[in-house]
Amino acid sequence: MGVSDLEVHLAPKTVFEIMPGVPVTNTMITMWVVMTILIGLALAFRYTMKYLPSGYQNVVEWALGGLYNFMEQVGGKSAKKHFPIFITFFLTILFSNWLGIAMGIVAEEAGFLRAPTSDLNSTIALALTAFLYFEYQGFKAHGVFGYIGHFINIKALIKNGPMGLIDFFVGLLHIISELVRPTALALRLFGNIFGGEIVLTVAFLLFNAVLPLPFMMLEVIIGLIQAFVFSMLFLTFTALNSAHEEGHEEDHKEESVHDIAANPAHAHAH
Amino acid sequence: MSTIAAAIAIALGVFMPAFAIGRIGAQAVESIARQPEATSKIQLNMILAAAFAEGLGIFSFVIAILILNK
Repeated sequence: MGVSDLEVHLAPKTVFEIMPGVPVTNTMITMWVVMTILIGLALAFRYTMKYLPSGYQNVVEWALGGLYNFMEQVGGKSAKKHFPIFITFFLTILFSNWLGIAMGIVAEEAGFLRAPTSDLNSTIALALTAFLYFEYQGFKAHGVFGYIGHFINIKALIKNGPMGLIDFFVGLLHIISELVRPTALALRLFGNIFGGEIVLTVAFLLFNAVLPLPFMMLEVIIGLIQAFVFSMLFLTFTALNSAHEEGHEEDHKEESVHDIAANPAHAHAH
Repeated sequence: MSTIAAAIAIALGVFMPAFAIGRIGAQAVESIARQPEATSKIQLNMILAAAFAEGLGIFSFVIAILILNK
């Protein structure tokens, strides 16, 4: 098989069907493998936990502690509250990406194994979960009407008259920027990992043994960075949505970069 | 025909994000050189900003794949 025969499929291959219309695809199987590994590691940690850590426990505590410190820089005070779901996203995506590199390429032509995150279905599922969570945090922090009033800003119309129209339209722009977030999260993760798999496949088709190794190294780094980016953006959006008005000034310095990049309208709103 | 369209889509779509990421990296390195004690904070924001810029390139990548698969 040469490079010219390479066919790119967006959709994952169906391995078997549980019943008609309910397929089990190869990315689903790798996702189950990831889940098994993660749950197994967590249970192994839980049942061998000792007061004086050693070996495996040391590694886990070191990794989680480092991530927590890193996360505290972004999330601030709320970091502790969101840490479980943050670390879940991070580890799931990291293991998915790396599993795809570890075994997806070998079996690419058989089409049996593929990274879960190289399937648009699973990245959309991840992004929607993140979306629901940070919207829920928004509702929780501002109240149902307070949070909706953020987007459909009738209060400004009543208070400021015609000048309130500007605030009203900025609120409408917020709706768009809010909806772009999960879309961008899903597409970014999918595009990076899927693109990486194509690059690796092409590299393996062009060269035989040693030369694809630098590409694999690159993909390992990209897998780590993308897992990090997804979970960090998730945390940033959560922190943005659950920020109270009075605490906003201190947060603003840290948020300004993401703010301007994600939604130019946001920067004017506060 | 669709091959050429996909090639143009990915070439033009990656063009500007490449500039953006280059500039983000350059500025970050410059500010780290100026203030080495703020390295971790700058690095964090650099990675996030680069992710935003890169996301745009990824959009065009997805579009190119969609054109190819038509």
